[in-house]
Amino acid sequence: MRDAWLVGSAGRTPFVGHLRGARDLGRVRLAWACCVAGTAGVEQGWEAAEAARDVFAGLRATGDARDILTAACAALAGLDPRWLARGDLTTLLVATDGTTARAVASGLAGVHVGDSGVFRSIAPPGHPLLGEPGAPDGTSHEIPLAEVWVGVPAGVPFPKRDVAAACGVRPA
Amino acid sequence: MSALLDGKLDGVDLRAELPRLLAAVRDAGSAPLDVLFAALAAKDPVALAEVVAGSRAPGGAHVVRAALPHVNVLEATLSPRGLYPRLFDLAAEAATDVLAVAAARHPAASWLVPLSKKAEFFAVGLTHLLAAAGHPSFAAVCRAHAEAGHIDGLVFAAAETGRAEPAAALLALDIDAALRAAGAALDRDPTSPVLAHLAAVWGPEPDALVVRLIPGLRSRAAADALLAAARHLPRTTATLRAVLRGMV
Repeated sequence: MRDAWLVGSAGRTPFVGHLRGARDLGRVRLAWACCVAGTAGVEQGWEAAEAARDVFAGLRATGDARDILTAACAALAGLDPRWLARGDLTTLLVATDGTTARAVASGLAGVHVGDSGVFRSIAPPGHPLLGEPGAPDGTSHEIPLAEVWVGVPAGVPFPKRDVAAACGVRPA
Repeated sequence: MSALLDGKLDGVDLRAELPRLLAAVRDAGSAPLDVLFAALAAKDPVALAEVVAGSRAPGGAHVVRAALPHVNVLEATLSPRGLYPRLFDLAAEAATDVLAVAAARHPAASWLVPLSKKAEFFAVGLTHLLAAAGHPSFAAVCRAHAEAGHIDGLVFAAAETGRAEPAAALLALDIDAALRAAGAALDRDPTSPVLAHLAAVWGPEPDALVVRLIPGLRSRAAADALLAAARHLPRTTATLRAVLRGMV
Protein backbone atom coordinates (compact mmCIF):
# COMPACT_ATOMS: atom_id res chain seq x y z
CA MET A 1 0.00 0.00 0.00
CA ARG A 2 1.27 3.44 -0.90
CA ASP A 3 -1.79 5.59 -0.63
CA ALA A 4 -2.73 9.18 0.02
CA TRP A 5 -5.50 9.98 2.46
CA LEU A 6 -7.23 13.22 3.34
CA VAL A 7 -8.91 13.79 6.68
CA GLY A 8 -12.63 14.50 6.36
CA SER A 9 -14.29 17.58 7.73
CA ALA A 10 -16.34 17.73 10.90
CA GLY A 11 -20.07 17.20 10.62
CA ARG A 12 -22.55 14.73 9.20
CA THR A 13 -21.21 14.77 5.63
CA PRO A 14 -17.44 14.81 6.11
CA PHE A 15 -16.51 13.69 2.61
CA VAL A 16 -18.32 16.12 0.33
CA GLY A 17 -16.14 16.60 -2.74
CA HIS A 18 -13.57 14.01 -1.64
CA LEU A 19 -11.78 11.69 -4.02
CA ARG A 20 -8.90 9.35 -3.50
CA GLY A 21 -7.01 6.90 -5.65
CA ALA A 22 -3.73 5.65 -7.01
CA ARG A 23 -2.37 4.63 -10.39
CA ASP A 24 0.81 3.09 -11.68
CA LEU A 25 2.18 5.30 -14.44
CA GLY A 26 5.22 3.58 -15.85
CA ARG A 27 7.64 3.07 -12.97
CA VAL A 28 5.93 5.70 -10.87
CA ARG A 29 2.97 5.16 -8.59
CA LEU A 30 0.85 8.30 -8.20
CA ALA A 31 -1.45 8.48 -5.20
CA TRP A 32 -3.88 11.32 -4.60
CA ALA A 33 -6.39 12.49 -2.05
CA CYS A 34 -8.31 15.66 -2.78
CA CYS A 35 -11.36 17.64 -1.86
CA VAL A 36 -12.96 19.69 -4.62
CA ALA A 37 -15.82 22.07 -3.96
CA GLY A 38 -16.20 20.69 -0.46
CA THR A 39 -18.24 23.67 0.63
CA ALA A 40 -20.52 23.65 -2.40
CA GLY A 41 -23.02 21.10 -1.17
CA VAL A 42 -23.29 17.34 -1.54
CA GLU A 43 -24.33 17.17 -5.17
CA GLN A 44 -22.01 19.84 -6.53
CA GLY A 45 -19.17 18.37 -4.50
CA TRP A 46 -19.77 14.99 -6.10
CA GLU A 47 -19.88 16.54 -9.56
CA ALA A 48 -16.62 18.34 -8.93
CA ALA A 49 -14.99 15.21 -7.52
CA GLU A 50 -16.07 13.27 -10.59
CA ALA A 51 -14.44 15.90 -12.79
CA ALA A 52 -11.23 15.54 -10.80
CA ARG A 53 -11.42 11.74 -11.09
CA ASP A 54 -11.58 12.24 -14.85
CA VAL A 55 -8.38 14.28 -14.61
CA PHE A 56 -6.51 11.52 -12.80
CA ALA A 57 -7.92 8.84 -15.09
CA GLY A 58 -6.59 10.76 -18.09
CA LEU A 59 -2.99 11.02 -16.89
CA ARG A 60 -0.31 9.21 -18.89
CA ALA A 61 3.16 8.01 -17.95
CA THR A 62 5.26 11.04 -18.79
CA GLY A 63 8.55 10.49 -17.02
CA ASP A 64 9.74 10.44 -13.45
CA ALA A 65 7.87 11.32 -10.27
CA ARG A 66 8.58 15.01 -10.65
CA ASP A 67 7.30 15.04 -14.25
CA ILE A 68 4.14 13.18 -13.36
CA LEU A 69 3.35 15.52 -10.50
CA THR A 70 3.88 18.50 -12.79
CA ALA A 71 1.52 16.97 -15.35
CA ALA A 72 -1.09 16.16 -12.70
CA CYS A 73 -1.04 19.73 -11.40
CA ALA A 74 -1.36 21.11 -14.90
CA ALA A 75 -4.33 18.85 -15.50
CA LEU A 76 -5.96 19.90 -12.22
CA ALA A 77 -5.52 23.52 -13.22
CA GLY A 78 -7.68 22.68 -16.22
CA LEU A 79 -10.66 21.75 -14.06
CA ASP A 80 -13.84 23.60 -14.80
CA PRO A 81 -13.40 27.19 -13.56
CA ARG A 82 -16.59 26.70 -11.53
CA TRP A 83 -14.59 24.63 -9.11
CA LEU A 84 -11.27 26.45 -9.21
CA ALA A 85 -12.77 29.90 -8.93
CA ARG A 86 -14.08 29.02 -5.50
CA GLY A 87 -10.55 28.48 -4.20
CA ASP A 88 -12.11 25.34 -2.80
CA LEU A 89 -9.55 22.69 -3.73
CA THR A 90 -7.44 20.78 -1.24
CA THR A 91 -4.91 18.31 -2.57
CA LEU A 92 -2.23 15.88 -1.61
CA LEU A 93 -0.49 14.15 -4.51
CA VAL A 94 2.40 11.78 -3.91
CA ALA A 95 4.50 10.12 -6.58
CA THR A 96 6.97 7.39 -5.76
CA ASP A 97 9.29 5.18 -7.73
CA GLY A 98 9.79 2.80 -4.82
CA THR A 99 12.98 4.42 -3.52
CA THR A 100 11.93 8.06 -3.13
CA ALA A 101 8.68 9.95 -2.79
CA ARG A 102 7.76 13.44 -3.89
CA ALA A 103 4.61 15.40 -3.13
CA VAL A 104 2.64 18.46 -4.08
CA ALA A 105 -0.18 19.81 -1.96
CA SER A 106 -2.59 22.67 -1.44
CA GLY A 107 -4.92 23.71 1.32
CA LEU A 108 -3.19 21.63 3.97
CA ALA A 109 -2.31 22.52 7.55
CA GLY A 110 -0.51 19.26 8.17
CA VAL A 111 0.99 16.22 6.47
CA HIS A 112 1.55 12.93 8.29
CA VAL A 113 3.06 9.65 7.24
CA GLY A 114 1.86 6.32 8.53
CA ASP A 115 3.51 2.92 8.73
CA SER A 116 1.92 -0.07 10.44
CA GLY A 117 -0.72 2.19 11.92
CA VAL A 118 1.75 4.61 13.48
CA PHE A 119 1.53 8.18 12.23
CA ARG A 120 3.92 11.08 12.56
CA SER A 121 3.95 14.60 11.23
CA ILE A 122 6.44 15.45 8.53
CA ALA A 123 5.42 19.03 7.92
CA PRO A 124 6.15 21.51 10.71
CA PRO A 125 4.82 25.06 10.35
CA GLY A 126 6.36 26.74 7.34
CA HIS A 127 6.84 23.50 5.43
CA PRO A 128 6.43 24.12 1.70
CA LEU A 129 3.64 21.52 1.43
CA LEU A 130 1.46 23.59 3.73
CA GLY A 131 -0.48 26.47 2.27
CA GLU A 132 -3.56 27.92 0.75
CA PRO A 133 -6.22 25.93 -1.09
CA GLY A 134 -6.37 25.94 -4.87
CA ALA A 135 -4.66 24.14 -7.71
CA PRO A 136 -1.08 23.30 -6.64
CA ASP A 137 1.60 24.95 -8.76
CA GLY A 138 3.45 21.72 -9.57
CA THR A 139 6.52 22.39 -7.48
CA SER A 140 7.15 19.08 -5.75
CA HIS A 141 9.05 18.28 -2.58
CA GLU A 142 10.72 15.11 -1.44
CA ILE A 143 9.02 13.43 1.49
CA PRO A 144 9.66 10.17 3.37
CA LEU A 145 8.54 6.91 1.84
CA ALA A 146 5.63 5.45 3.76
CA GLU A 147 2.67 3.14 3.50
CA VAL A 148 0.32 6.08 3.63
CA TRP A 149 0.55 9.85 3.49
CA VAL A 150 -2.19 11.80 5.21
CA GLY A 151 -3.17 15.36 4.39
CA VAL A 152 -4.83 17.41 7.09
CA PRO A 153 -6.91 20.25 5.66
CA ALA A 154 -6.75 23.62 7.32
CA GLY A 155 -9.21 23.86 10.19
CA VAL A 156 -9.40 20.11 10.71
CA PRO A 157 -7.57 18.41 13.59
CA PHE A 158 -5.52 15.29 13.01
CA PRO A 159 -7.64 12.43 14.38
CA LYS A 160 -6.63 11.09 17.75
CA ARG A 161 -7.71 7.57 16.82
CA ASP A 162 -8.81 5.56 13.79
CA VAL A 163 -7.14 7.73 11.19
CA ALA A 164 -8.42 5.54 8.37
CA ALA A 165 -12.06 6.03 9.35
CA ALA A 166 -11.52 9.77 9.69
CA CYS A 167 -10.27 9.72 6.10
CA GLY A 168 -13.21 7.64 4.86
CA VAL A 169 -11.03 4.60 4.26
CA ARG A 170 -13.20 1.55 4.83
CA PRO A 171 -12.24 -2.09 5.16
CA ALA A 172 -12.57 -3.86 1.83
CA MET B 1 -76.57 24.60 24.64
CA SER B 2 -77.51 24.63 20.99
CA ALA B 3 -77.09 28.40 20.90
CA LEU B 4 -73.45 27.93 21.83
CA LEU B 5 -72.96 25.19 19.26
CA ASP B 6 -74.54 27.52 16.72
CA GLY B 7 -71.80 30.01 17.47
CA LYS B 8 -74.10 32.55 19.07
CA LEU B 9 -71.65 34.10 21.50
CA ASP B 10 -72.96 37.64 21.64
CA GLY B 11 -73.27 38.66 25.26
CA VAL B 12 -71.52 35.54 26.50
CA ASP B 13 -68.65 36.13 28.91
CA LEU B 14 -66.51 33.33 27.58
CA ARG B 15 -64.05 33.23 30.46
CA ALA B 16 -66.83 33.14 33.06
CA GLU B 17 -68.90 30.73 31.00
CA LEU B 18 -66.02 28.41 30.22
CA PRO B 19 -67.47 25.49 32.25
CA ARG B 20 -70.72 25.79 30.31
CA LEU B 21 -68.80 25.96 27.07
CA LEU B 22 -66.77 22.88 27.97
CA ALA B 23 -69.93 21.03 28.90
CA ALA B 24 -71.56 21.98 25.61
CA VAL B 25 -68.62 20.61 23.68
CA ARG B 26 -68.43 17.48 25.82
CA ASP B 27 -72.13 16.81 25.34
CA ALA B 28 -72.18 17.68 21.66
CA GLY B 29 -71.89 14.07 20.56
CA SER B 30 -71.61 14.05 16.81
CA ALA B 31 -73.16 17.50 16.42
CA PRO B 32 -71.05 19.84 14.28
CA LEU B 33 -68.59 21.99 16.18
CA ASP B 34 -67.21 23.93 13.28
CA VAL B 35 -69.49 26.95 13.71
CA LEU B 36 -68.73 27.25 17.42
CA PHE B 37 -64.99 26.85 16.93
CA ALA B 38 -64.96 29.39 14.11
CA ALA B 39 -66.80 31.85 16.34
CA LEU B 40 -64.41 31.20 19.22
CA ALA B 41 -61.40 31.58 16.95
CA ALA B 42 -62.66 34.97 15.88
CA LYS B 43 -63.79 36.19 19.28
CA ASP B 44 -61.52 34.61 21.88
CA PRO B 45 -58.64 32.34 20.79
CA VAL B 46 -57.70 31.71 24.42
CA ALA B 47 -61.16 30.28 25.09
CA LEU B 48 -60.84 28.12 21.99
CA ALA B 49 -57.47 26.85 23.23
CA GLU B 50 -59.03 26.02 26.62
CA VAL B 51 -61.86 24.12 24.96
CA VAL B 52 -59.77 22.06 22.57
CA ALA B 53 -56.43 21.71 24.36
CA GLY B 54 -56.77 22.99 27.91
CA SER B 55 -56.44 20.94 31.04
CA ARG B 56 -60.23 20.30 31.13
CA ALA B 57 -60.65 19.86 27.38
CA PRO B 58 -63.01 16.94 26.70
CA GLY B 59 -60.97 15.72 23.75
CA GLY B 60 -62.04 13.03 21.35
CA ALA B 61 -61.59 12.64 17.64
CA HIS B 62 -64.64 14.74 16.80
CA VAL B 63 -63.48 17.71 18.85
CA VAL B 64 -59.90 17.58 17.66
CA ARG B 65 -60.84 17.24 14.00
CA ALA B 66 -63.06 20.30 14.37
CA ALA B 67 -60.18 22.18 15.97
CA LEU B 68 -57.58 21.40 13.32
CA PRO B 69 -58.80 24.05 10.82
CA HIS B 70 -58.04 26.64 13.50
CA VAL B 71 -54.48 25.66 14.36
CA ASN B 72 -53.16 28.96 13.04
CA VAL B 73 -55.21 30.70 15.74
CA LEU B 74 -54.31 28.11 18.37
CA GLU B 75 -50.61 28.49 17.61
CA ALA B 76 -50.90 32.15 18.53
CA THR B 77 -51.94 31.04 22.00
CA LEU B 78 -49.91 27.87 22.55
CA SER B 79 -46.48 26.97 21.29
CA PRO B 80 -46.56 24.29 18.58
CA ARG B 81 -44.36 22.09 20.77
CA GLY B 82 -47.05 22.21 23.44
CA LEU B 83 -50.14 22.35 21.24
CA TYR B 84 -49.70 19.37 18.96
CA PRO B 85 -48.62 16.77 21.51
CA ARG B 86 -51.58 17.87 23.65
CA LEU B 87 -54.00 17.62 20.73
CA PHE B 88 -52.44 14.27 19.88
CA ASP B 89 -53.07 12.97 23.39
CA LEU B 90 -56.70 14.10 23.19
CA ALA B 91 -57.34 12.99 19.62
CA ALA B 92 -58.04 9.24 19.95
CA GLU B 93 -58.46 7.92 16.40
CA ALA B 94 -57.74 11.39 14.97
CA ALA B 95 -54.16 11.24 16.22
CA THR B 96 -52.76 10.70 12.75
CA ASP B 97 -54.69 13.76 11.55
CA VAL B 98 -52.91 15.80 14.21
CA LEU B 99 -49.55 14.42 13.15
CA ALA B 100 -50.25 15.23 9.51
CA VAL B 101 -51.23 18.82 10.26
CA ALA B 102 -48.27 19.32 12.59
CA ALA B 103 -45.83 17.89 10.07
CA ALA B 104 -47.22 20.00 7.26
CA ARG B 105 -46.93 23.18 9.31
CA HIS B 106 -43.66 22.47 11.10
CA PRO B 107 -41.60 20.09 8.97
CA ALA B 108 -38.33 21.02 10.70
CA ALA B 109 -39.61 20.48 14.24
CA SER B 110 -37.65 17.93 16.26
CA TRP B 111 -40.63 17.16 18.51
CA LEU B 112 -42.29 15.50 15.53
CA VAL B 113 -39.87 12.60 15.88
CA PRO B 114 -41.20 11.32 19.22
CA LEU B 115 -44.73 12.25 18.16
CA SER B 116 -44.31 10.08 15.06
CA LYS B 117 -43.27 7.18 17.24
CA LYS B 118 -46.47 7.52 19.25
CA ALA B 119 -48.70 7.99 16.20
CA GLU B 120 -47.43 5.55 13.63
CA PHE B 121 -47.21 1.83 14.03
CA PHE B 122 -46.01 1.11 10.51
CA ALA B 123 -43.21 3.01 8.79
CA VAL B 124 -42.73 5.31 11.76
CA GLY B 125 -41.73 8.79 10.66
CA LEU B 126 -43.14 8.52 7.17
CA THR B 127 -45.74 11.28 7.59
CA HIS B 128 -43.13 13.68 8.91
CA LEU B 129 -40.54 12.71 6.32
CA LEU B 130 -42.94 13.19 3.43
CA ALA B 131 -43.99 16.56 4.79
CA ALA B 132 -40.34 17.60 5.16
CA ALA B 133 -39.24 16.39 1.74
CA GLY B 134 -39.68 19.83 0.22
CA HIS B 135 -38.08 21.67 3.12
CA PRO B 136 -34.41 22.64 3.56
CA SER B 137 -34.37 20.69 6.81
CA PHE B 138 -35.02 17.36 5.08
CA ALA B 139 -31.54 15.94 5.58
CA ALA B 140 -31.60 16.88 9.26
CA VAL B 141 -35.07 15.39 9.65
CA CYS B 142 -33.84 12.17 8.06
CA ARG B 143 -30.92 12.05 10.50
CA ALA B 144 -33.22 12.65 13.45
CA HIS B 145 -35.46 9.76 12.43
CA ALA B 146 -32.43 7.57 11.78
CA GLU B 147 -31.13 8.31 15.26
CA ALA B 148 -34.56 7.34 16.60
CA GLY B 149 -34.33 4.03 14.75
CA HIS B 150 -37.18 4.71 12.33
CA ILE B 151 -35.71 2.54 9.60
CA ASP B 152 -38.87 1.52 7.75
CA GLY B 153 -40.12 5.09 7.65
CA LEU B 154 -36.89 6.22 6.04
CA VAL B 155 -36.89 3.41 3.49
CA PHE B 156 -40.50 4.13 2.57
CA ALA B 157 -39.76 7.85 2.38
CA ALA B 158 -36.97 7.12 -0.08
CA ALA B 159 -39.33 4.97 -2.13
CA GLU B 160 -42.05 7.63 -2.09
CA THR B 161 -39.89 10.64 -2.84
CA GLY B 162 -36.90 9.32 -4.75
CA ARG B 163 -34.72 11.39 -2.43
CA ALA B 164 -31.25 10.20 -1.42
CA GLU B 165 -31.11 11.78 2.04
CA PRO B 166 -32.87 8.88 3.81
CA ALA B 167 -30.21 6.47 2.57
CA ALA B 168 -27.41 8.76 3.68
CA ALA B 169 -28.99 9.16 7.11
CA LEU B 170 -29.33 5.40 7.50
CA LEU B 171 -25.66 4.72 6.75
CA ALA B 172 -24.61 5.42 10.31
CA LEU B 173 -27.31 3.14 11.67
CA ASP B 174 -27.87 0.21 9.34
CA ILE B 175 -25.94 -0.24 6.12
CA ASP B 176 -28.33 -2.79 4.64
CA ALA B 177 -31.27 -0.48 5.29
CA ALA B 178 -29.33 2.39 3.76
CA LEU B 179 -28.80 0.33 0.63
CA ARG B 180 -32.48 -0.59 0.51
CA ALA B 181 -33.34 3.10 0.75
CA ALA B 182 -30.82 3.99 -1.95
CA GLY B 183 -32.20 1.33 -4.28
CA ALA B 184 -35.76 2.41 -3.58
CA ALA B 185 -34.88 6.03 -4.31
CA LEU B 186 -33.29 5.07 -7.61
CA ASP B 187 -36.26 2.91 -8.56
CA ARG B 188 -38.54 5.86 -7.88
CA ASP B 189 -36.31 8.45 -9.56
CA PRO B 190 -33.36 7.15 -11.58
CA THR B 191 -31.81 10.62 -11.48
CA SER B 192 -31.70 10.58 -7.68
CA PRO B 193 -28.18 11.61 -6.56
CA VAL B 194 -27.66 8.62 -4.30
CA LEU B 195 -23.96 8.26 -5.06
CA ALA B 196 -23.27 11.84 -4.04
CA HIS B 197 -25.12 11.45 -0.76
CA LEU B 198 -23.70 8.05 0.10
CA ALA B 199 -20.14 9.12 -0.68
CA ALA B 200 -20.48 12.29 1.36
CA VAL B 201 -21.08 10.16 4.45
CA TRP B 202 -19.18 6.99 3.59
CA GLY B 203 -15.98 8.26 2.08
CA PRO B 204 -14.24 8.96 -1.19
CA GLU B 205 -14.25 5.38 -2.49
CA PRO B 206 -17.83 4.11 -2.26
CA ASP B 207 -17.44 1.32 -4.83
CA ALA B 208 -17.57 -1.56 -2.34
CA LEU B 209 -20.68 -0.05 -0.78
CA VAL B 210 -22.53 0.87 -3.94
CA VAL B 211 -22.04 -2.52 -5.57
CA ARG B 212 -24.11 -3.98 -2.73
CA LEU B 213 -27.21 -2.00 -3.65
CA ILE B 214 -27.45 -3.53 -7.12
CA PRO B 215 -29.33 -6.70 -6.10
CA GLY B 216 -32.08 -4.51 -4.64
CA LEU B 217 -32.75 -2.54 -7.82
CA ARG B 218 -36.12 -3.30 -9.36
CA SER B 219 -36.06 -1.34 -12.61
CA ARG B 220 -33.83 -1.25 -15.64
CA ALA B 221 -34.04 2.53 -15.66
CA ALA B 222 -32.51 2.62 -12.18
CA ALA B 223 -29.73 0.25 -13.20
CA ASP B 224 -29.01 2.25 -16.36
CA ALA B 225 -28.86 5.48 -14.38
CA LEU B 226 -26.59 4.00 -11.76
CA LEU B 227 -24.28 2.68 -14.46
CA ALA B 228 -24.03 6.16 -15.96
CA ALA B 229 -23.35 7.75 -12.57
CA ALA B 230 -20.82 5.18 -11.40
CA ARG B 231 -18.26 5.50 -14.16
CA HIS B 232 -15.39 5.67 -11.66
CA LEU B 233 -16.62 2.71 -9.60
CA PRO B 234 -15.18 -0.35 -11.37
CA ARG B 235 -16.82 -3.10 -9.31
CA THR B 236 -20.18 -1.41 -9.58
CA THR B 237 -19.97 -0.88 -13.32
CA ALA B 238 -18.78 -4.44 -13.98
CA THR B 239 -21.59 -5.90 -11.89
CA LEU B 240 -24.19 -3.62 -13.42
CA ARG B 241 -23.17 -4.57 -16.94
CA ALA B 242 -23.58 -8.22 -16.06
CA VAL B 243 -26.94 -7.57 -14.40
CA LEU B 244 -28.22 -5.41 -17.24
CA ARG B 245 -27.58 -8.19 -19.73
CA GLY B 246 -30.12 -10.27 -17.83
CA MET B 247 -32.68 -7.52 -17.30
CA VAL B 248 -35.64 -6.96 -19.60
